[in-house]
Amino acid sequence: MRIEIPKECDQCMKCVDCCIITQMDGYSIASELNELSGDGAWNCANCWRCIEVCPRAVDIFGFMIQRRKDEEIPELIRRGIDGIFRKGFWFGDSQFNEVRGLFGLPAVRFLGREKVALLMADEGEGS
Amino acid sequence: MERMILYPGCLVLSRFHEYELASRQILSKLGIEALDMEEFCCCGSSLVSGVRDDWINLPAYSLARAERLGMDIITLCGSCTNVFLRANFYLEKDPSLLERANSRLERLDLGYAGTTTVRHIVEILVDRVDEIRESVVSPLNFNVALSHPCQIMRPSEILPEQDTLSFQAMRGIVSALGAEVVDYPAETDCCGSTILLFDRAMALKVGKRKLESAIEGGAEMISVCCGNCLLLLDRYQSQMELKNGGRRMPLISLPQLIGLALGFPQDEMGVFRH
Ligand code: SF4
Ligand code: SF4
Repeated sequence: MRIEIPKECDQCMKCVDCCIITQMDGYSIASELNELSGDGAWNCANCWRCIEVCPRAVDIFGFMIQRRKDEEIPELIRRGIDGIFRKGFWFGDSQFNEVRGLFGLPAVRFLGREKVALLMADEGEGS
Repeated sequence: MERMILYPGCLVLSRFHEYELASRQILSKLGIEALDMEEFCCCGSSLVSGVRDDWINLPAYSLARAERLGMDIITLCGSCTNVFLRANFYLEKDPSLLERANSRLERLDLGYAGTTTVRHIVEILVDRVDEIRESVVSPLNFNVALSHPCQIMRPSEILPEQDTLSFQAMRGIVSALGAEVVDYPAETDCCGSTILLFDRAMALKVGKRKLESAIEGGAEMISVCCGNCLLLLDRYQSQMELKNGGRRMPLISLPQLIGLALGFPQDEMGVFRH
């Protein structure tokens, strides 16, 4: 599959140079913009330093969204989405409120499965 | 007393009780009553970039709840802050998006006009730095390195116009407590925590580099103000094989650090649980 580089990008490498992932010899979305790899769509800390340094105001965020749509969603994110649809909470912790109680913290009530379903798009529309 | 909604986010609610507790105590000391979301829902921060197109309904829900009460939202995590700011930015820019979000919110008897202000706790604290300085009873006499909640400051396009936040905010607060703020090369780097969702080994490498940079800079501890920084730099630290003579680098959240300087009992600040 060919990755289409936004036309504003002149592959100046500034985003690659500032990225914590490429600095550690990994590939990120900045690597993809500069055609160094086709493997960087998910590897990102969402620090948006690349967006701040880009001299040509390339829509790096939009590019990332497009690229990710071509790839599988990572397992841990899938699990988080399940949690959100289960009750509106990223984790599946058991005894969550009991543990909070031990710290003297108030119990949390979650939005709940039915209301989350009302809030989000219907099956098939969301992603 | 000023009233605001405290939105700790999934990560802090479930993993960083000491940080949440100290935040509540410091806010109360500063005259802010922190109310809880009646029915909490995840902000959806990990769904924003290419996971689900309807992500915006999640932050819109919490924003609408706060708007109904006429209160600001206080966040404790960089990721939640970023997604709320982003949601407000898009909803203001694109009326059709707001309309679509409202068609969903209506099903829960809610609506959003776009007026809720979201402020990360650092912003609340830096606005009250003089009051904090005047309340210090035990000035901190150690060297503290800072890991900033970078997602509350980038990208600048989504930040509100009169945004007062910068990498100076935490520095000002920690200096007001009497501590020496250490300079180190990786200070403004992202900690790398959200990489944990895709590539744990890479996240550990990024976190290790940041911690070792702080150690070289002479830090005796690191103060953070974000659930993600705590997650990687504290909870995953033992997997990093730090070059620090076999010692751990202690991490402490900013509200806990303030609590120490303000003379709150150490067990109330959760310091020993950390
Ligand atoms: S900094 Fe901007 S113009 Fe330069 S390579 Fe990156 S996206 Fe392209
Ligand atoms: S946002 Fe992602 S790609 Fe951009 S600099 Fe940060 S880690 Fe690298």
